[in-house]
Amino acid sequence: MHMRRDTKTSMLLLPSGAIYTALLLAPIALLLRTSLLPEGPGAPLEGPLSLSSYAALADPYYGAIFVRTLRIAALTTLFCLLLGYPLALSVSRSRGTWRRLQLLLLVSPLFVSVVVRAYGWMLLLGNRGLVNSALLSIGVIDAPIRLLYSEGAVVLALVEALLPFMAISILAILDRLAPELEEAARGLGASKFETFRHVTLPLSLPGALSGALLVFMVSMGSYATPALIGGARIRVVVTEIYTQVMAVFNWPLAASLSLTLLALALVVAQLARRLEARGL
Amino acid sequence: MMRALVAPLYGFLLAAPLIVVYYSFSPGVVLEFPPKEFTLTWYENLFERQRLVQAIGVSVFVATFATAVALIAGVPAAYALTRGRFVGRHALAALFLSPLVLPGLVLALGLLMAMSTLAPGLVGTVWPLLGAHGLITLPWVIRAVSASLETADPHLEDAARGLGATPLAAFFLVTLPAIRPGVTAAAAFAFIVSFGNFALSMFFTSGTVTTLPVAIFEYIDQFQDPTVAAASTLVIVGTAVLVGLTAPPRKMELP
Repeated sequence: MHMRRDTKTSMLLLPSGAIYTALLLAPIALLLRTSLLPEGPGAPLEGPLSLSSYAALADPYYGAIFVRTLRIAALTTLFCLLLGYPLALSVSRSRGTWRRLQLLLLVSPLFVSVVVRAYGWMLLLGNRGLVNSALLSIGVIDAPIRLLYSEGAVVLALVEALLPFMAISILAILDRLAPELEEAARGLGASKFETFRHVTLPLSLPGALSGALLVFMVSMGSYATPALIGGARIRVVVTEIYTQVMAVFNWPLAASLSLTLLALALVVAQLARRLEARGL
Repeated sequence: MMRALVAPLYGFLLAAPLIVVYYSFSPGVVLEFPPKEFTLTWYENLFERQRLVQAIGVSVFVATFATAVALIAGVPAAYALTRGRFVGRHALAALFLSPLVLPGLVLALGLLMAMSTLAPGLVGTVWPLLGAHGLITLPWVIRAVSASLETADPHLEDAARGLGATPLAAFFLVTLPAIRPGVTAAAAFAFIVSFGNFALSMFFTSGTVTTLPVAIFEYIDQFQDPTVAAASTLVIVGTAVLVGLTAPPRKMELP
């Protein structure tokens, strides 16, 4: 009876299963197929199977792009961790209206399109942007300094976009911690800092880890922020994929770049799972 | 002390959207602070920009369609994934949630290649946009509805079954009312995610079929005036209204 009911229940997966098969799995299979065609600008998408599109990635040009992508993702994750902790702690320690207001402030940026937020950063950091005109008017600088189209600006905008995810992820764990644990540490004579360092922080690490994984993966795959804030100067894997598809018409190379990025994402996810299993 | 520490962080989170709203009322093309005066000129200009107005319409249509698809397919899937006990459930759940973290542009490229190989007739129509947005909203719905189902008491449904309700009746009369706030929040979220998504639309816009984020992107590339700031402000206000109506902050559950 139970078996039959569960077979029936799993039928409920059919509509979603059909969507994922047609729109996720089949496309990834076709990416794989395309990546095995001979590459080249305007490549005709036919010919014998070859690994040339993967061999092309050995060029130092692409190596530098992968390194930059990973560096941006790592820095974004680091800053999100550093800033996400105080935010999560502050929400978990407050009650009533202040807590609700903080939660609202925390999630509200998620409701604004990534393009609109990137546009906001352009207005702030551009040559005639608010930051430059403020610095000019108080005489710190004589001519606008270039803030936009730099790796730093891309990281800044990514941190802003992904900080809520990190904070929410840590908060989910902090809210579940028994307050008695901290009280016990305090009762035994630990200072506030010692309590945080030896009790709260170690117990909340799983939340920080899952937040870090999420932030790392999403920043590695983000397109709008590097495209708008980094421009043509700061090329990352995803913007390079776009260029290969729309400007160079080298679809096999775009496909091999895509699959290499997906493989990297899977490796990162696997590493995070290892860490988690080791009890971090 | 904590408040003094986190206040600048909240300022940082709100800086970019707020500056866009501020710029939309700016009389000149150059951003000035403090303001000399405010104007609604750019809002008037917005409605003369056919491409932006059309894009708003396309985005509303695509987001509505994607939300409907995500609800119809996602609610049953969330139910099966949380209540069912079958082999491969965890692997399936991981697969179903994967579009949340996979690079949107890569998913879009896969769709583009699949479409140009298997169904070239669809290139240039609104269909690939609908498919791409359905794919990205579905995992949001599955996640939000699963979270609500996990907190809802399964015994109530069993009780209804015991009293003779069919599985369908038990679901619609007992379970669905219990998880309704979660489903409403999921629908609002799906709509907002689709409306704001950029990467998945990039390859599928052409001529008259352009979503608002792509139209904004193109506009920023070509012109330097606050018209798109006005469009963005309208979207922010619309989103705030939608969130306020469907998930009052008092009861708001985090996704």
